[in-house]
Amino acid sequence: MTFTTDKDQDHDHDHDHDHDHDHDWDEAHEGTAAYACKCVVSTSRSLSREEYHSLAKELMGAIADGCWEQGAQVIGHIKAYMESGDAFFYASTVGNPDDMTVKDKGGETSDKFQLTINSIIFGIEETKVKLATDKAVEAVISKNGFSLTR
Amino acid sequence: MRLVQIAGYLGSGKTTFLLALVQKLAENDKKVAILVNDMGEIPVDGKVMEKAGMKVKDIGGGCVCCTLSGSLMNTLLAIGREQNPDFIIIEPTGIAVPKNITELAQRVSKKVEISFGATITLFDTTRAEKLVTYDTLKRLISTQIKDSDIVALSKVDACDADAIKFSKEEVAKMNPNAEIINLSTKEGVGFEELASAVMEIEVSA
Repeated sequence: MTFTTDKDQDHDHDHDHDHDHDHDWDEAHEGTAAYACKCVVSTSRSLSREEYHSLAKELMGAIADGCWEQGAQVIGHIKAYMESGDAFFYASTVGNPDDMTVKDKGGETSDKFQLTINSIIFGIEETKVKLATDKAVEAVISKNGFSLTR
Repeated sequence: MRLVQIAGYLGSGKTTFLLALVQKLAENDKKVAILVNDMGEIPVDGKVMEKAGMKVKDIGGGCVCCTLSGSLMNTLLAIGREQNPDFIIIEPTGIAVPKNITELAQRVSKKVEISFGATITLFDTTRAEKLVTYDTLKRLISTQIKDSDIVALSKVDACDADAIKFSKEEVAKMNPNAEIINLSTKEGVGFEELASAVMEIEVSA
């Protein structure tokens, strides 16, 4: 999803509010693009909590790097969660390696996990956000010897 | 029900603050409804809150201040009629314009009782310079801050005094009337002050 400015768009909603078609969002949303994806990763064994934390950081870092390479001006927010068995892991980054968050809600993991990612980036189009995200996910999953099903 | 917006640019710490805030409100026996809006087609923030044991109304795949304004109004109406909580806390997308959400809620308030609490906008001190570098982005940030009653300078635990000073000066230029509070949800800095503001402040819409 990409937000663009379209000053010629129709405004056919009710006008029981007091403004003059100067919607701030026309410009406010310009330049931001989002891409979300979901896939299942087979790990062939149950990973530990520490391995999930490490993997989450690796994924966040790789996606951010990919977006920078595509020309991103600001990493708005890259966030993801991984669900395996009863365990839940949440990761997020704004592109600064020192400010990468990984949290978890413990539980038994299985030999696979569902990965959901949402990348929201300022300064590049959605196609580039998608390319950077998909490429990074595939590279990290492959590097760790896991397999991915979309 | 009193509507409180926790606004702010992407990655500014809204969800982390909201998780702590809702817990605080629950400890004070307040009935809270949470409405979370994610820009991505597959919502993430709502899932994180659900996993933290919270019941969340999740709207994804766009922004409730514009493309999903109808969903926002229908959801507010349904929450007002079916749950009638003490507070409805809205976490919009990081690119939302708070004033638009207030305008939409005002329309809904003709059908269900809604009062308006503080609009709190988080400003990420760790990325302050970057956020005001690009004109388009600066306009968004400035709009969000102008629409706020309180601006929380977030993640102050992760940056130095110069970055906090710079952030405070930039925010004050954008909205000289806003109260500015240093916030680190992680370390509890400013949290009690903001939680009290949420519970006590009611503004005229």
